Amino acid sequence: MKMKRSRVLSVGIVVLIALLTLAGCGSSDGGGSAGDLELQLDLAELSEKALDAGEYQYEMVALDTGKIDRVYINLDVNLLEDACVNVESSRSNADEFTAFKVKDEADIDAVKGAIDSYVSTLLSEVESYNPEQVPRINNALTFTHGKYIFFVISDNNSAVQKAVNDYVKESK
Amino acid sequence: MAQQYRYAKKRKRNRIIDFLTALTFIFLLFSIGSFLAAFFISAQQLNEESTRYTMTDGLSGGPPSSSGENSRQDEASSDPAPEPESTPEPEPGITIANVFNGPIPQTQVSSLSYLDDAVFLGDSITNGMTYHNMSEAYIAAATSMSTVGIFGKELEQYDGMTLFEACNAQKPKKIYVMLGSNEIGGISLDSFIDRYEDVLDKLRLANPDALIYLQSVMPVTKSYDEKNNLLNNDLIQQANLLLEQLAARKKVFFIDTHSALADENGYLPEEASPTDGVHFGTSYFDMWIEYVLTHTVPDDVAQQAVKEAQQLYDELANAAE
Repeated sequence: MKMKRSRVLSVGIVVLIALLTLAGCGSSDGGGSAGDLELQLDLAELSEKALDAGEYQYEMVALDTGKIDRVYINLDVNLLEDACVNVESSRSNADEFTAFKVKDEADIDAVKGAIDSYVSTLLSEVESYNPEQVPRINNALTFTHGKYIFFVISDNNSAVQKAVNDYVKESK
Repeated sequence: MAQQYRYAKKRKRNRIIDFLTALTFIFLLFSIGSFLAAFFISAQQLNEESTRYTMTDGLSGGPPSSSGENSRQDEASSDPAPEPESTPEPEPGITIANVFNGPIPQTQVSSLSYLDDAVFLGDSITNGMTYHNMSEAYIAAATSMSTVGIFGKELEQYDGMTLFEACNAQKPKKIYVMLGSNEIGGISLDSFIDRYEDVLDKLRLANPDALIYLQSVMPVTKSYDEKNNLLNNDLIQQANLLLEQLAARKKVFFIDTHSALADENGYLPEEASPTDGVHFGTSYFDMWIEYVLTHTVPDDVAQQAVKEAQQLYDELANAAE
């Protein structure tokens, strides 16, 4: 009887540990996996694909990385490992495709906060000056893959997101 | 017999349990092994990355690897702003006697680094410069700005400073100012020039040693012009003539940036501004910067000009006393 109990107990413990181990693998933010955290993306190549998919109407320009904090004023660029900010070149249109990679997954929320603050600034800039951009900015899309955070303003955000998802799948 | 059967059944069940336990242990060992392997690989990568970005002090210290910055800009702009060639020789055409008599004529191309200690002060048109790769020039510009707004509106993106304060905080050696697109047509030209005079006075008093370049207001497209907008090319040209005279009075350099972008009829080409007829894209920013770099005042003349300007303000101050 004792033997039976200890056997059942040991099996239970093993199963519990196994379940906990499996649960831990899937706990990363944004529905990512351990594989997502190791993602290495070529942001220039990804930007090309995303900009093509988003049917961006006007010329887009990539912001010099040294000037990112002039635009994303509440962003601590020291948290970033890589970045690519693409905006409409005359800046009279809110079109944007931006990708940030954080050094530490724990800083994703800080970067998302900086993006929110940037959106508020954008809205305050265009409200009286260029009001037709307001709904486009309000529809901006932010999503993550592992340590990457993406920010999109376009006429076809879902197509941009799909292009990013496809690229991420290819890169795994 | 029945008891033997029960023992046999129990032994069988125990074997199955043993088998399952062993299987789970193997799976668990495999999981732990994978986890540890992944952990060590990640730790190694993080260590490498950390070394790499400690050297560049994060993104602010320089572009990291694969961002592909300016990739589209490079494509769109086959002829970017001129690269350093040589320090400009004093232009025989520009002297202290004529430097305030009209627009600065074309000079030898200056190095892009000429703008490293410059501030570009302006509205949304100037703000577009932030997004284009150029020198280390500081951009103090924002949408909706005017000759009044630069003193009054505190901006989050400039740490709560006004544009005027943000400009002065840089202690610039050169100031390129362009304002007007948000007010020409909205107020009389006389009022506009009075306000601009106030801007130039305050800039000079706050930056007595700086070279101040007043840039003419940029043109708009024909289609924008014909939409009965308050801002049109006729008014812009009238304003620019008055600005040229103002520059001479206040002893600042006038450069006709309007002519850098206007077509033969004085319009901003339609292809320059498909978005709104006022703001333009990469290649036109390049043309603007190229114009600026080929219309500079030689150092010796510039220093004399600054002394003359300081003298003017001293005289005005003495007269006021």
